Amino acid sequence: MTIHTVHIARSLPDALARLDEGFVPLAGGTDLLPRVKHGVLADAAFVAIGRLVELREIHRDGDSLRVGSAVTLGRLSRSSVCPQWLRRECMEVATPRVRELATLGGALLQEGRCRFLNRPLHWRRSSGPCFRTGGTRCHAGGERCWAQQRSLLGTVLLAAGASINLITPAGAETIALRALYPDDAGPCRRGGILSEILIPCLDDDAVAVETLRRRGSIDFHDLVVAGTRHEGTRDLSIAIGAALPYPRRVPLPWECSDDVVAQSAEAAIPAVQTGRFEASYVRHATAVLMRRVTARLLP
Amino acid sequence: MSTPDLRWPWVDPYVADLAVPGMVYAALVRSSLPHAVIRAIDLAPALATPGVIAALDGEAFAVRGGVIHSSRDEPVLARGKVRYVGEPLAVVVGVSPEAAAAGANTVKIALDSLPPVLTMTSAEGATPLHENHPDNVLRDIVLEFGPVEESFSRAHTVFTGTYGYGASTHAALEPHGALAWWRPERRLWLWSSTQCPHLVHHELARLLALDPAAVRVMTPRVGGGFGGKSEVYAHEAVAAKLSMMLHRPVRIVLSREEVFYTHRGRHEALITLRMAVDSRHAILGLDADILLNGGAYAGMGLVTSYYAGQFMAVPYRVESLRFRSRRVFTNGPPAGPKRGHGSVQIRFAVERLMDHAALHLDLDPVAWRMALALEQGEATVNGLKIGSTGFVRCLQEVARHTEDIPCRAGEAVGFAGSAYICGAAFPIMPNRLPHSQALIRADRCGLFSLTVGVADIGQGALETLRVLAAETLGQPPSSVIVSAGDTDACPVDLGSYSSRVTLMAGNAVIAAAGSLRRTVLEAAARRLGTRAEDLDLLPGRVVVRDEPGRGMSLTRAIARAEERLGVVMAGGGYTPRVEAGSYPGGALGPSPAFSFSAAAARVSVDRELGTLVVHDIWLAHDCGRAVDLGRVRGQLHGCAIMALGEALTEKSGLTRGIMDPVGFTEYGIPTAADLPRIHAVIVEEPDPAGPHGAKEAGEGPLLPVVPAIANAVARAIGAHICRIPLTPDLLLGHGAAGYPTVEEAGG
Repeated sequence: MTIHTVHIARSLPDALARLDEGFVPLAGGTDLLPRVKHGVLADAAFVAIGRLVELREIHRDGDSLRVGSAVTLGRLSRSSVCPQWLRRECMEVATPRVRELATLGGALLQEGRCRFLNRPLHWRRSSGPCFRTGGTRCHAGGERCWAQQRSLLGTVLLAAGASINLITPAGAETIALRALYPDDAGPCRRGGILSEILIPCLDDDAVAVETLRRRGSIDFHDLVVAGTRHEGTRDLSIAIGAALPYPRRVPLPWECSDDVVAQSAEAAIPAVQTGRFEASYVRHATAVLMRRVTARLLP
Repeated sequence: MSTPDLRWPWVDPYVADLAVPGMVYAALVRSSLPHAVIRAIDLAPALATPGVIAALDGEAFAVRGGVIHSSRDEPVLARGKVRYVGEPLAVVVGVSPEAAAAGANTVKIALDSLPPVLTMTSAEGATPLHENHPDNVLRDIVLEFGPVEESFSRAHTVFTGTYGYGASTHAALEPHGALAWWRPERRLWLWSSTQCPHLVHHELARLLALDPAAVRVMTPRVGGGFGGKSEVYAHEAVAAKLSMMLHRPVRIVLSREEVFYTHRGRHEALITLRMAVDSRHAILGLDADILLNGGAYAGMGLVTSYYAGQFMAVPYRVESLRFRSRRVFTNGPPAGPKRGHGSVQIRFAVERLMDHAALHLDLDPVAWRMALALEQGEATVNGLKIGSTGFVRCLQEVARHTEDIPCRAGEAVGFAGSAYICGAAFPIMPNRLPHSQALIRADRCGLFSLTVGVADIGQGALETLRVLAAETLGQPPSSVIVSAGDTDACPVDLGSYSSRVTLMAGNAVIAAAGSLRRTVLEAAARRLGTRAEDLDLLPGRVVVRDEPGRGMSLTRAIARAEERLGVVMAGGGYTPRVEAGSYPGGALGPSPAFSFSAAAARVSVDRELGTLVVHDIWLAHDCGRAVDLGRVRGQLHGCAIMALGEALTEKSGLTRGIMDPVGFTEYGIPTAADLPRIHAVIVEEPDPAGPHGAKEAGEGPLLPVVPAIANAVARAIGAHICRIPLTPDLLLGHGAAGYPTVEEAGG
């Protein structure tokens, strides 16, 4: 693995200028460097933004937690101002060593993963190119790239109704996190630097997360279903992730039958799966986890 | 010979740490197609790459490799055809690893694709991989012992099941590597991360047309093997050949991806097993049809094919036995020996079917196994002799530890038993020479210098041998210094495979140390005016047995012996005294001794998701005598964890014809977060053939753990578990394969 150019940004404007020149932002590197090692991301120049102090703060702002995008998951999990449910979910990501490098911004902006893509160079050459690597087909059988974003925290924060601050050359902008995640496999909104994540400080019993993961450490999650209950309303916010190109919110009535849940899972989970399980199983498991999440949230 | 200028960066280096002045680096060019005719290989672009100094293709090697002389089918570098993705086609040498890799990337390979054989069930009758195996079967083995048909005709119940066992790999942390140095005195020195330096020594000489006396093989520190470093590989041969060509040291270390392509891991297996049980619950017969996925080349596959059937009956009394075993060629990396070689798959099938039968017959699974256990002095129907057995004690231990375990809904405890060899009685290269030798020298300062040819691959074999030597000499282990890992300096040992080192090298060490002890005592006896047999060797002293005040220091006794003999040393060798079966393949299976194990596993199953948690594993193992208690316990823990991976999360296979996975991110080795409580119980039933009674502990304990987990899952959910690994989707019946059925029929 050879990285030829890394520019260490001195300020946000400096970083923005480099992005404009085509540099790739580098913070913790835990998602990016394996792709460089495997040649999925080749010959790129990087702008390191992880040391910018503007991106490294954590503070409570009323009912919200404001977390800089370069805050590591390890640090966030130890923060006394961080809600218990978020500290717990941070601890579920990767391994202790990775969590000390991986950033919250990186977790939300993870690239899609696929069992045909995240492989060493000889393996991919032998397999042939796919949509993502200059080819004209998806080896998983899709009509387009169905690489799946495996972000646990992206799914959880989507359910929690988090917002993000984007810094662009035109200025700062606050948008809902869901704007980052399109409902299909198309390109998501990009551009600028994700500077801060604004997270509602929900009560611990108002958040429920159920996951499917092969091992208790290292592995990306195979399926995440997260739900939140908002006080004073009869609204449940359910999000599904890890088995989709991006996390997405799933409308679910306050009271619904198992059949409705199963239909909702069926509609949400694509027939093309690029992870380790077949679609029929993922749909089944999604319905199971949705039922468990709602059962935990309903009074 | 001058002392080499070796710049070891570490006191105890791995191959990748070795550096020699003038060293250059090799990189292999590998196939990107699973099955193809090689039309052309153009090395010119590589040779034009800056920093590249040489390149070779398969034409540089005239003979084929293979550790078993009757099935040598593997070229060092592919010639004529490629047979799996990742097969080495060419090698490029550069002045740096980067230059070699850059050169390797430019080699132009023209391949004409052939239809690949990607599954073992489609291999027979498909496009042949090898001309001399038109049916893609390495050997169709059928062996029958006892009155099989008559036994089945007398059966009260016949149970039948079909069992699938997934392929897996060794996952040794240190990748394969070698450093070759063709010396000015026209001798080849090779450092390699290998389990079998003796085998590498002779196979390299054959491949390179060298006199074996011109080859020296050394093993630096080895970071695990588990069977995956038991053969002679392309990287060792090409490094040696290139060093001879270039007159420079050549080093090659495989990447993790390349280690996965090299493979030689557990064979995927599909086994249909019939078991005949009479009205008193005796097993009248076992009848198995065994299909093994061997990948592209034979390797040690012939041994695997026999082991798969030969070990079916131990540790139980079975009246008759029959098996048909076929190892088929497919276009994947070659399978080979992995911890518990050949017997893990059939043990899974037998123990699963037994547990199913126990449920059907309403029998206590542990009590039934105890009732069927072979006793000391008995032999299996296929002639495997049991010199000692602690099997019943192992079963009692796991039963005792689990009798008060409460199980809620979705939870259950499963049991299984097993036996394993302590070394193969007959060597891979047929001969009647000793399998292990040892030399020991006494120094006048009171130290003993023990030299053995054993490769310590991280299991602590040398420490075990040190203890055995010290016990024989009556001295503390710290007084014995062990040297190993150099075929020039050390006597022969066949290698660290088949759980042979403790028993075979241990016996050689005891023979050598015993001889030295007599020499020292005789010298002391002359001085003390008594007989050697009246003396005792105590730590640091020689004393007259019945006169504790009379004696001399050990150093004086050694000095007296030196005065007489010039040097005080002794040698010992070990050759198994075991008869082969008088049938084809009768040399594959017999062992000087068998170890025994029993396991229990407590699991809980999430029946909605198909996920499961293994909470506890109790593993009792009869190791004869624990020479080193801590290391035996460590082996039991290691076996339990490796078995857990095979049972639940580890699987190797082909995706689009390519080995998958090829990295540790995806390959599912259990992490610390996944481990159950492991309760290791050591049972000691000394074997007369073992050194001070000792038997193996490194492989056998793995065998019962996988079926114990599967038996627990089957009992927890009331389904017949027939396939490993137990992934959630398969457990719930998703996926194309589903589960085979099990049948019972009245006799």
